[in-house]
Amino acid sequence: MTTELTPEPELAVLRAELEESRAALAAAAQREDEYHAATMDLALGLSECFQALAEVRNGNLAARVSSSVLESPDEIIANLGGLLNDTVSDFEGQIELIRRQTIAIQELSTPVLQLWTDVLALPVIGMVDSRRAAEIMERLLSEIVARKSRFVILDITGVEVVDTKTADHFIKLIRAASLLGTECIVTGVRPAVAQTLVELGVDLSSIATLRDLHAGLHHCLKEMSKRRVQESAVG
Amino acid sequence: MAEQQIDARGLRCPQPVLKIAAKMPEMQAGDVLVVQADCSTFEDDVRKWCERMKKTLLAVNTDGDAKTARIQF
Repeated sequence: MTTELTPEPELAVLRAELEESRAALAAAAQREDEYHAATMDLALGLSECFQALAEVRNGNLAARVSSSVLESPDEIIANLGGLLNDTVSDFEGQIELIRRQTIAIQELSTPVLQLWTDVLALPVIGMVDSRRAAEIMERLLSEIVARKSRFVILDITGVEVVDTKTADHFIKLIRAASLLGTECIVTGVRPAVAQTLVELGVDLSSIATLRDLHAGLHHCLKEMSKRRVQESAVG
Repeated sequence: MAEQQIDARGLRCPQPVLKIAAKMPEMQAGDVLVVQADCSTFEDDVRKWCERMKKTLLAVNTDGDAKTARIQF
């Protein structure tokens, strides 16, 4: 999936999901109030029963509970049963919502942006585990092939923690892109990430790194210009 | 007059009141039950319970998120 610079469809999906989440939260709050009221009735009814039993134990055979307690058990049980059913339905709805949100998050967490003609950008945010690395790899390679892109900028500004495994995922991604004839540039390496990579002894000597996305795009445009000059000289 | 304790911290409202109800058979007239809870409606619930059961709510003290109610039977 290629995300354009103004991803309105994605925003619309997110807004709809947000509205749905708000409605679910409001329904959950209402259920919480109903649960509280029903359980409070139960607690008060039980308390009256225990009090009456204690009085009987102490010889007061005239002890009674209020008529509301005697009338309410069926109502309480019906209320609690209804709440239980509603809660199960809520859970099922929540599970379905979470499943759809997970899919949306997965799609949005690995966006491939068409930054310029022949230039794709892959902004990576957060942790990159094996599963996510595989998703990124699959999506990026298919976009490279589909768009015949000559450059890919892998922007890791949003990656705060890198370990040897994460670095290994990035290196594999860059090598795979190279095999397709695409030059890969890494941008946005944070100072802490750079320090960690050096401490871990990860060899990034074969990988072009630049300070930020702007510098990366500038590099790509310069390279494209050079190649055009060379091609016209040959032609 | 004995003093008994219930630690209902971490329980959702109104479960602390259910705990008080379950403790009732052990309580004698004049005993004091000290209940600690941290659910949001605990104070309102315990006041309602005391009013309905005609018990004396001696005090409700707040310590951070937790509240301690002293109920005389």
